[in-house]
Amino acid sequence: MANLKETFAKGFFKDNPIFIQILGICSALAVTNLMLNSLIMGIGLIFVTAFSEMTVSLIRNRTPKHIRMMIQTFIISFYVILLDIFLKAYMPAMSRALGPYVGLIITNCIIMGRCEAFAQNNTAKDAFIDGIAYGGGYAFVLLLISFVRELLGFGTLFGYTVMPAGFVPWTLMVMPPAAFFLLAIIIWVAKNILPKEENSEGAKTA
Amino acid sequence: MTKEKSKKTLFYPVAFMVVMSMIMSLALATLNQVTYGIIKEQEENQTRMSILSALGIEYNSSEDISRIFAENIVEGIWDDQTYFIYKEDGEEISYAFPIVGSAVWGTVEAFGAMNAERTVFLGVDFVRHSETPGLGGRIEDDWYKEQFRGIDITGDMPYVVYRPAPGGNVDTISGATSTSNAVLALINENIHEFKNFKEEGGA
Repeated sequence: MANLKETFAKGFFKDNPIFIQILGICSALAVTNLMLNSLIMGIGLIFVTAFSEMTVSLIRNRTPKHIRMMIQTFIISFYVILLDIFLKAYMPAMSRALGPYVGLIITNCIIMGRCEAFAQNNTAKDAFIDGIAYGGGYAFVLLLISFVRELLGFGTLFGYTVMPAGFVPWTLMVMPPAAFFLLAIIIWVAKNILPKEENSEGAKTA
Repeated sequence: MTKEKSKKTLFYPVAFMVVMSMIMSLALATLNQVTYGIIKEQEENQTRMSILSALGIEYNSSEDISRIFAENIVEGIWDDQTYFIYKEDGEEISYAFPIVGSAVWGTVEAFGAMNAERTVFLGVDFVRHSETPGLGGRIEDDWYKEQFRGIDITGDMPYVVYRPAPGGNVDTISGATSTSNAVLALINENIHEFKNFKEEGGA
């Protein structure tokens, strides 16, 4: 296995799915108005990415090459439905809050991208860890965006009031455009801080 | 390509897919079966929460909900649908009735409530809908629902009117005109029909 630290550094910063690869931003924009929503979505994505990658890797030598993408989508759907049922049964309020976005994890390019780019050629254990790293990178950015949005939009963090009593909520932060502005700022900052050559190496098209 | 080989390249992927489908479907079906009861219970709880919120009754926990439903609420039949009568000390205080109909993308299921004198609309709460999240989906937002509390329904249809039309008493959702209108029409119609049903002495 390539260095564990290196894998996580890649997933979280150098090759971050959101601010470097610009993947999965649809859901990143949609569920980031509250930190709790982002956290659950992030955990959900870590779960789906890790297990999908592991499964794809486990059966990679038996999978006919020309139908492999069909199989990958199939495996991803399987885990997403698993997650969806779990949320419906044990976290109904969260299931309602996240609405259609749990089902839409199936179409999240991060998972498909990692299955295709990494899991196809690596052992199950490495693929699993890779999934955690990249899912974690996604969750990390979601939490970053929702931290600002919830703090300024509601004056709370994870539902707990943290702003002083006289605080006037900045309504724009709760609305979808705020996610665009914040994501753009994060990408801008990231592109400036991270070393140049790493950027171009990690860049992929959605 | 020999006959043998083409058979093999066609057969193996198909067989592979079939086996995969079988394993995964079986796993999901089992899980679905196992959690069926829990999900059903959660959904029922959700419906009950909607009914209480339409009636404007406070509750703190799911024990509260069960207790209120056991002690204060009896069911009635209206037009093949179940409606709920809220009682205190044996006296009918208010009614919660289902509001079901189509909006923009699909069926909206909600509960509306009025007092036993049929003079005031107490509130509305949505159980299920498939409107666009962030647009029509905002019918679920508190600011929208809370507007419907305490609307006078002694006159004739329409009881609820969007501002700034004359006699307007609630605000529409910007960017979701069709959903807003569909929901308003459903609420008005159902208030009207339920009022008539009660005035004709329906139990």
